[in-house]
Amino acid sequence: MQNTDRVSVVAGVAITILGGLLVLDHAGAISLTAGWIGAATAATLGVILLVSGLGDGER
Amino acid sequence: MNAAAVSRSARFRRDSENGIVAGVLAGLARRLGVDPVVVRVGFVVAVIATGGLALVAYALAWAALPATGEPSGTRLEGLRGLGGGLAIGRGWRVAVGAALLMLAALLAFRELGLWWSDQLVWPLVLAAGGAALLWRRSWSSGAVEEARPPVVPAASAAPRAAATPTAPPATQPSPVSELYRGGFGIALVVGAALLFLSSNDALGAARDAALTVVVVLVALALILAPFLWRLGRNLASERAERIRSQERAELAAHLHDSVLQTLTLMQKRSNDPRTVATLARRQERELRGWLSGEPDRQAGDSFTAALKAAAEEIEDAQGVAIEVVAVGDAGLDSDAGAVVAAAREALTNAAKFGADDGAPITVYAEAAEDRLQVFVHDRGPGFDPDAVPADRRGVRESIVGRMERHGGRAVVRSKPGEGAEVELVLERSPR
Repeated sequence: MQNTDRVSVVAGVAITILGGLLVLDHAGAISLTAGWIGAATAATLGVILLVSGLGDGER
Repeated sequence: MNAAAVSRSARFRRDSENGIVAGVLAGLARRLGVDPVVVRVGFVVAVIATGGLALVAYALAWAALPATGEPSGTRLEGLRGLGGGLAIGRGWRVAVGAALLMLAALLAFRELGLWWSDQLVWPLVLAAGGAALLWRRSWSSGAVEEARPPVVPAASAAPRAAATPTAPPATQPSPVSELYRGGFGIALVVGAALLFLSSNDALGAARDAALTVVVVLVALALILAPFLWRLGRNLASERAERIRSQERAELAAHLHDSVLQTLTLMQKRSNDPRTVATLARRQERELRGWLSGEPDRQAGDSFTAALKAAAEEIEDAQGVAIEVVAVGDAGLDSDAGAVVAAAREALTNAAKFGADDGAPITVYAEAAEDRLQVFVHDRGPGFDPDAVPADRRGVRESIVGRMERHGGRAVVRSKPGEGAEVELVLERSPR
């Protein structure tokens, strides 16, 4: 799999998971405090940046 | 354009050229085929409606999407072009990504109740981030200093340093990057300290203590300033004297090893004028090279070194003075070696038949990778090149023939009573 595709896939999955959590929170299935939303957002951004940076180093 | 290229061109990409911040909305507008203003207005509405969460989505898109014009298969370019300024490289992305993951973990622990206190943890996190930035800056500066070539004492090696080729400078972070990293690191550490003191209601006391420390420091500086200034001056003069002493020692050692030894030999061989002249000539050559700062090169290293070595050999063997002036240099391959051999033969002839009392034989060479040119000139009695017997191979075969076999040419110019000049030219395709 090309390097860019892997990063895009990871980014897409991470953003999808974040979006799913927000949707579930909005639907009332789960209850997310500001802390959990902040943690999820930070984790999403962090994963995208980490995979991007590490993937760049393999080229 | 094939299907893959069409597919790539239809992907949603940021439009950095037409965007205001990162080109996310401009890229979206282009993908949808609508006016970017409409998309931007809709984004503003979304930010208000979602309480700011749309900004997070913008940041995610910025990080995840490549910009228009970036070739496919390249790394994620989402963080380039922030405000047209910062270019965040691979290392920074890994560091920031890891830091964000750590932040996410801390926030999760906090939500789970596995927590010490906000007053302790957040200042520690800020301080750790600032310390990491300052450590990295200090480490990268130290690596640049170690890679820099050693400083040669100025005075004794001034002529040498002027001609010695210096190593290319080590890669150095830009001043803006250094300022950014250092300033941001210091700000984080100071911010962490203030946050800790503030959350523990100790800011007022810290302010008083800081004021006390500042006043005491200023008083001490006023008292010690003259002493410190004198100390600094003494240290500088001591360092300069030490450098001068080292230079004198180096100069004395060189003169002892070269000139004194030669003078001693000349005294021992004073009854052999030819040997004395050879010794003197050799020492003169060595001193001239040392004064001009020529690097020590072996004859096999380059065309110029080989030519000079050949001239020195003829000089020693024939007891004549030969002056060599060389401009440029080139590698020593078979063609260049042929030119050197032809020049050696021309020098031998000049030494045998063209050496005039007191007038040295001169060699002028211009060398480049695509052209070699050598002139050998003497002020001897000269000769008629057309009158050279056919069985004398010195000029025809060793000089003219050799050059022609390697794709060059040799021209001998001489008239009786007007000295002689041999021109050797070799042009070749650049490597």
